[in-house]
Amino acid sequence: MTIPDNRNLKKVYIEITSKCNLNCKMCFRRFWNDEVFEMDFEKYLRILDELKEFTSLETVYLGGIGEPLFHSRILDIIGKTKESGYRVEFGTNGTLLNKYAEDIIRLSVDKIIVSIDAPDPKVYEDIRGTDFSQIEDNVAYLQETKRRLNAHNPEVEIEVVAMKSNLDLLPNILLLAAKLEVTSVIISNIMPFGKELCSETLYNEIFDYNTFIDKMNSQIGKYRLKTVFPKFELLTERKCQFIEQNATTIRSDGEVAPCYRLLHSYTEYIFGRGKQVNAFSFGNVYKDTLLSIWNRRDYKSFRYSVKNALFPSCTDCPLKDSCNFCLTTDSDCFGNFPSCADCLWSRGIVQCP
Amino acid sequence: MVGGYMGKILRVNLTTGKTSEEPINDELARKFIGARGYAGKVIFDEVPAEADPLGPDNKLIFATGPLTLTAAPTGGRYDVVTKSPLNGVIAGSNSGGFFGPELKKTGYDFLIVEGKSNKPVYLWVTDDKVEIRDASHIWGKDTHIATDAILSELGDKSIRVACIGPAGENLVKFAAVINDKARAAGRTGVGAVMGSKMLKAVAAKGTKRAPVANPEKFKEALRVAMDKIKANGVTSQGLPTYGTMVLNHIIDEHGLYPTNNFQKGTFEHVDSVSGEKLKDTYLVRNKACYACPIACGRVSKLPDMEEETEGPEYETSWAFSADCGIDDLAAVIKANDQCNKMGLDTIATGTTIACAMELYEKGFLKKEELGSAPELKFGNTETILVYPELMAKRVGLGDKLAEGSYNFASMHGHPELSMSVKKQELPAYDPRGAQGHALEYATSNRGGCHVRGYMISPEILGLPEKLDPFVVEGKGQWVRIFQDLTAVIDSEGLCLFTSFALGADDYAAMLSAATGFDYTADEVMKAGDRVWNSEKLWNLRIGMTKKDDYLPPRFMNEPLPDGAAKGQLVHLEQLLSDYYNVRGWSNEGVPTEEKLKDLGLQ
Repeated sequence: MTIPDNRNLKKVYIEITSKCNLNCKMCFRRFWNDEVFEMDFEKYLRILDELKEFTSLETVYLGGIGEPLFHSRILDIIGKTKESGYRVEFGTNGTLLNKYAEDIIRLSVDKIIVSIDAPDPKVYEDIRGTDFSQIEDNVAYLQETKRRLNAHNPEVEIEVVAMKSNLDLLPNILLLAAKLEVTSVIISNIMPFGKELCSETLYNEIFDYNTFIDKMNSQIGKYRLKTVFPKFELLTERKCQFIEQNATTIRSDGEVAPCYRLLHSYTEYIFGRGKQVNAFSFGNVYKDTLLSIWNRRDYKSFRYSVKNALFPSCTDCPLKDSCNFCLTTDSDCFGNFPSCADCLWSRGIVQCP
Repeated sequence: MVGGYMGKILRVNLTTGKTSEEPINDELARKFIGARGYAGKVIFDEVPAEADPLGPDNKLIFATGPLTLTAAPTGGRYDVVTKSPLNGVIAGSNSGGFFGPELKKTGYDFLIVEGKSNKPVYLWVTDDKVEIRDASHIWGKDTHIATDAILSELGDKSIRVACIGPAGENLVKFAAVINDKARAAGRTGVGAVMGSKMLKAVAAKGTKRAPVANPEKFKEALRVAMDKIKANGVTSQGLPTYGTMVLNHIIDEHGLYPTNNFQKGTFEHVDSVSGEKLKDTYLVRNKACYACPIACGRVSKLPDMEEETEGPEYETSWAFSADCGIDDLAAVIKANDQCNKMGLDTIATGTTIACAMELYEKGFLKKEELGSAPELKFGNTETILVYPELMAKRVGLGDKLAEGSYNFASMHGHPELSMSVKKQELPAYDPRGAQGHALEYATSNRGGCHVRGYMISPEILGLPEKLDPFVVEGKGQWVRIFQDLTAVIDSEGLCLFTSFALGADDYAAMLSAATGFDYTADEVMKAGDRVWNSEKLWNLRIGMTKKDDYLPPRFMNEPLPDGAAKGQLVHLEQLLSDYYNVRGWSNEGVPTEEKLKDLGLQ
């Protein structure tokens, strides 16, 4: 079978930096061994230039594992990307929004997603190690500035990681979201990157998620919000958002990974079972063109296999506790390299923006 | 494109310290597949028949197959191939774990070790590179200590190590090569060859992936194979649940569970040393080798052990229990752990003790010879806890036992009490209880062995179909097919246990897609036949004759006294003549010109 070459990349995630100014409790930066890089501005421009090859490309999402606003030339990066005609979105922890609010609006960034873990100062601080009121103020400041400058963009979304320790407080997020005029709240489950976080998962045991969802939904009319819930149990459907969106990810050192999950190396705990995730690259944009990497036979075949769910399911396989394939993402019993067979993102349990 | 192979062979000469590379020969690859087959051919062509197995002229090959390191189910095997110090045959000793695939990741299909070092060394193989390093500090150490020392010295816990223990260093005739601390290239004494070269270990760490010629076809073939493995009761239930020790009860019930050095066919205490018992007591979890969906490996722990240990396997549990008349599972686990650390083949170790027990009880081995070591009486648990180390270190009686049961029994005037073929000890099935398996024992090219044509599968387990174990007719053809198919599986780099579920078609499909050679099922079977005949030609070359296709006389003369196979004897002459005939060999067991011409082996 030959899959024809194509240029149908629609969204590219570029990790302009893997540095961050916070050290959150559940972030996998705490658990990985990878080196931390900031992407050279000149190199970024080269990537941007290569993106011209992809005529259907719409969105450049600045983000990976680091904090994009922490990049020393973030405004130049945004400016040049907008000049090239792409939608620009990024995810942020919000700590630097006050500093860049005017610029973000002036440069017409299309969307930002702010991670807020709990609408409760104490819990937030415990998770993030920083002052919650500052984030709230920063987002409010951004929205005020938008009004002042009579601007619509950027659209602001909030992302929350649902855990046992913040579950009771989650419904309050809607009030906060309304107050901050955000358009949607994305709720994800936690992917434990350390064994000690396994007890925080809500999908690990009988959790009455329907009542929880009903409780949240009963308020959405009042606050006019869109709430995106994750799945709270293992369901049949498997769908990769990166593949569905024709997206790719470029790491801060130029490596091209198919998704966030395979961008770095670390250990996941899937329903308590440890799995070594090994960063997987189909090529490096500093060595080859993105177009040639996108059309590599193995990358095309990988996208085809994932799109058609041609991979096993380790997560509920009877052999999962003993099978050697389950120990890493390197390959699986269908012969895939790398393997998505245990991916909780593809199950909708864990969600990315 | 030729896929499957990395395409390179690494040679290291320990006499000169020189290393070199050469390409894999495509024609040999196609004809002999890889691992056992191809490496066996290298020994055949490069090692003189008269070479001293423990001298510098012998070569030692760590050989992977074209499916090793691929995602093929159980694609984690490798073979250690050399001229055997036990009996002179082409020793192909197969092992799982993770070492084989790691070696292949460095970019080499084979590592050929030649010559002999004058001081202890180990090899450190990385991507396209090898380094000969000093091993003086770990010489004399057990396999666990040596492995840990190498990992810490090289500073990477993910390195894979194959090494020998004191047994290999002391040239024990049944010394094993132990990889990943608990997986053994156990039989035919390959560890002693390593020891004779002063090669303590091979450490490997690579980053490459196995190339696959036709990835789409390969994936299709894998799915078919995986579906069959998952649908098969043995591979999806029996082995994962109880490990290979699923067999203790089954074999005992069929009356071919050798007890007290094959004097009986059932063991009254089988319950206490069964897989079921292990699961209820000391089993911690299953453990799978590389790319294995079966996960028959056992991790077990005794209350008084500091660390977890692996195993025991069926053969080990039998050798140290029923064959020695011992019913203590905890002691069996300790003996197994000790053998892994000392680098001993557990089958030969247990059965040599059993042989000594019979010699002792019959008065052929005198009490004075034992010194202060435990009395060699059937049922004496202390024996299996003490003798393995004495053998590995060649202390006291252990020095004589280290020559193997055949030599030991001969020294005491009674070679017939060694339950061995071609000097290699028989494993855990009494041949009187299964005629086909008896024939396989007699004709196995490497000597007494169950994994070169596992006739227990059809005769007892009923896979792929149930045969009457007591019937002689037609067994020659069955044994031939099983031997050839096993040669294919070993040479591809897969585990024999897949054969409970898979057939020649499946092996051909995976191999074709991976290599790009277009094999049919008939062609892979012919390659297996070629490997088998080539090994046979070597045996003839070193002077073996029909007389070596023998079984200990007990099996032809003493009917089984008990159990479901009571009264049975092996009908060896009849079996052999049928077998030679279907093999296309003369009445004396010599391949005919025509046969060799057909296989391209002239």
